[in-house]
Amino acid sequence: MSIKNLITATDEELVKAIRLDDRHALGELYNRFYKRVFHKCYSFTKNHEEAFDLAQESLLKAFDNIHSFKGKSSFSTWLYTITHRHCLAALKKKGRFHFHSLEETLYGGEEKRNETSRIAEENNERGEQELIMYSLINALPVKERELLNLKYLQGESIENLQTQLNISGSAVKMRLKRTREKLNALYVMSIAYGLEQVLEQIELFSVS
Amino acid sequence: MGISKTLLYPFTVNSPYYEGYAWAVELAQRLNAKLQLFTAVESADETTTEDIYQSLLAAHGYYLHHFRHDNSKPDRIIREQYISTGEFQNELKKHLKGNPVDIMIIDPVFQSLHTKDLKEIIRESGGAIILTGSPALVEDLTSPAPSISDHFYNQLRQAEFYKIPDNFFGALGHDRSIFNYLRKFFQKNRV
Repeated sequence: MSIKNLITATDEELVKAIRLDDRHALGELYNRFYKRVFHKCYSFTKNHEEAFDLAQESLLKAFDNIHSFKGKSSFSTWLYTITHRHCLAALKKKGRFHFHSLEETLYGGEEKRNETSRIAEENNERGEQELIMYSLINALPVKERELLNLKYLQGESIENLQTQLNISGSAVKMRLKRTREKLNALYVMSIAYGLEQVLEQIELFSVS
Repeated sequence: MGISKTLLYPFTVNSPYYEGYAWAVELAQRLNAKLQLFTAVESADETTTEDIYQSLLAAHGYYLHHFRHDNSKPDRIIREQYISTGEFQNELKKHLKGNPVDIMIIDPVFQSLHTKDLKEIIRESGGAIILTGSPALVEDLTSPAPSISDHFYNQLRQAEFYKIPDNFFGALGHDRSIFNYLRKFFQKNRV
């Protein structure tokens, strides 16, 4: 790839070139993201040295496994998911982070938050969690997706949903509960195994 | 040379050091050694520390870009960062007293140190390789990528050695890529 092409190439085009062993494309893509990955890690650790270690490991993990990038999300989402997961795993290993449910973090539950989840919130990772969540919501069956959109994006009341869907109030609540639980499970799986792999599995199940 | 060997690469972010860093990482990779990265700053405030770590990430990007072998995953090398506060030479000497190393890789940028300081620093280390200011890998995107091994051994050939333990050469002798390098070198000299 020429210098001009390197500069103007999209991240995904660079990934393709890296797969063809273009080292210059690797250099360009790395340079585009290493600072952002470092800042993301710092938002977890609040410590430069730890952030450096995690950033380095995350970047290497991503570039070592670049062949597994399927292009179902943008490269940046894929990279940030790896970083996010790596940071969570590292903090969890050090006993500084515990998984908390999606309901607690995203649906504004009034549950008492413990110290570790408070730190996680302070870490300003909400944006990324939402990014993962929206990718998962988009992968849900249409009915479930619409239900979540109506309730949580458009703020429809249970009564309105009852009328729109022509089902009882308790049925609406039950569907919401099940969909949220499903989403929670997918979210945790995304953190553990990677968003790409989970999206792939959802696709497989929806086909079969 | 076993995994217990430790290399030290002192650097300063105020001067270009990516090439020396990448060479040091490559040497650590070939020797299966641990690599200490040392720098000293006047004041270790938040911004300075962040700049150093970001610079190290950039340096590693340079290594991945220019040195890393396609079929290897050399990044399991143990690297340790040391950021001291104070005058560079004094801090480096203190570091060497507290953290013995087998080989120190001295970047060309430190050739400007007073001979006395340099001698003292080398004395504190197990041995030293002083890199020369040979040009970095040229960014020629139109020609095929240069051989990493050739570049590595060219740098080694031009470097100066002080008190290098014998087993250093023995360990590198196990590196199969050196044979290809030597073959090309001798062929060139024959012409």
